[in-house]
Amino acid sequence: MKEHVHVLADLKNVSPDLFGIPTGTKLDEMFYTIEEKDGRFVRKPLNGIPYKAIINVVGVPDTGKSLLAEQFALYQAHNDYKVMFVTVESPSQFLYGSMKLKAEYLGLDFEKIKNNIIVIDAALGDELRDNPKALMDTMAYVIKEKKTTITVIDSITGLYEAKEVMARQIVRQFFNFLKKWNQTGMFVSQKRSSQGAETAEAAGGLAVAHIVDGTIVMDKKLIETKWDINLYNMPLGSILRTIRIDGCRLAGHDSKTWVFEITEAGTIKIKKPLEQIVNTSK
Amino acid sequence: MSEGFETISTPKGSESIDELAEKVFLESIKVVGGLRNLINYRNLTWLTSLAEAAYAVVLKNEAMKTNKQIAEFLGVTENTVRNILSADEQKVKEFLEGKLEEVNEHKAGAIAKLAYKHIKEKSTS
Repeated sequence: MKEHVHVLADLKNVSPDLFGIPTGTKLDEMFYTIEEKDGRFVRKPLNGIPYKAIINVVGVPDTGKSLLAEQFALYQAHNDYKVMFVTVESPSQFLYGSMKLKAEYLGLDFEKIKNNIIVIDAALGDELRDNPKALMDTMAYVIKEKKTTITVIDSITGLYEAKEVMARQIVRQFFNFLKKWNQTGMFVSQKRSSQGAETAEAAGGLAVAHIVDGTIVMDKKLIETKWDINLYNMPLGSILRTIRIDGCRLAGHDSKTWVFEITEAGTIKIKKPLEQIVNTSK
Repeated sequence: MSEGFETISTPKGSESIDELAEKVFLESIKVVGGLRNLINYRNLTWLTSLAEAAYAVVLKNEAMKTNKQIAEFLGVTENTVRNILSADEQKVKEFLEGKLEEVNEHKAGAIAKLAYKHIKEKSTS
C-alpha cells in the first residue's frame, strides 16, 4: 500500500515533460502551455497533443475520426516514430491503400512510413477483438519488440461491442495499459446514444470522458434550411464539419469550435473558428 | 496480410482462455489440499462445477465478458454465474480449514477465485 502514497515534491522526478506530439493538423496549435515572459504569463503552443496523453476522438459516423487517427499515425511515422495501429473496425488490407493515398497527398515519405507502422488487426477474427487481455498482451509484444511510442486504437468502441456495460472497465484497462507502457495514444470512439452529437458523453457514456486525458469532438451538420444557409453562409445540401477540444487535463487548450473540411484524399484540413463563418447580421 | 505494413492478426505472448481456465482448475485442486484431499469431499459432480467456475472467473477477469455471455458460454443460468463470481472466498477458505461447519456460498466459485488470485500473484512476483 505504501507504494501508492507520495509526497507531491517526490513526484517531480517522475513527472513527464510537457511538450506536443504533432498530429499534422491545426489541432497542434490548439493545445498550449503557459510561460512567464517579461513578468506576464503568455500562451505557448504545444505544437501537438500532449506527450503521453491518451486522447479520445469522438463523433457520430462519418465525421472524420478515423481519418484524423490515420493522419496522426502517418505524420508520426513520417517523423521516424514507431506507431502501433490497432484496427478494430476495418480489416488491415483496406488501411494500406487509404494511408498511402493520404501520405502522397500530404507529401509524406510513404516508403519510410510503411516501415514505421505496425498494424494489429482485430477486425476480422474475435481472438483479439473479444479478448481484451489477449489484445493487450499482443500490444505489449509489439511495444517491446518494435519500440513503438505512439498507439492508435480505431475504434475503442469496437472492443466493448455487445457489452456496453463493460465500456468503462475496458477503456480503463486500455488507458492504464498505455500509461504503463509510456505511449502517447489516440482512441477513436463511436457515438451512438441519444446524447447530443456535439457532446462527448455519448461515446461510452459520461464516465469514459473522465477516464481519458482529453477529448476531441468531431461533428457534422447538413445545411438543409433557409436558416442554415443564412447562418452558416453555405449552400443547401452541403455539410458543415466541426471539431473542438472538449477538455484536456494535461494542458491548456482552445475551447472554440472550429470548422474543417475533408479533402478529396481523405485528409483533415482545419480552417477557421465557427464564429468567423457564422452570419450574425440581421 | 497488408502489403507493406507489418500486420499481426493473432494473439502474441498470450495464453488462450482454455489454457488459463485449465491452470485455474488445476490450481483449485491445490487450493483444496491436493488430489488426495479432494477424495474427502466425496462429491464427484463437484468437478464439473469447478470447471465451470474456472471458466467463469477467467472469462470475467481476462475476456471481460458479461454475466449473460458467460452463462451462454457455459450453458448455465445468469444466477449461477452471479453466485460463482460473488462467492465469498474467505468464508470458503475457513470452511476448508475446518473453522466453519457449513457455508452458504458457491464453494467451487470461491475456490476458483482463490486459485486465479494465486496464479496472478505468482505471475507478477
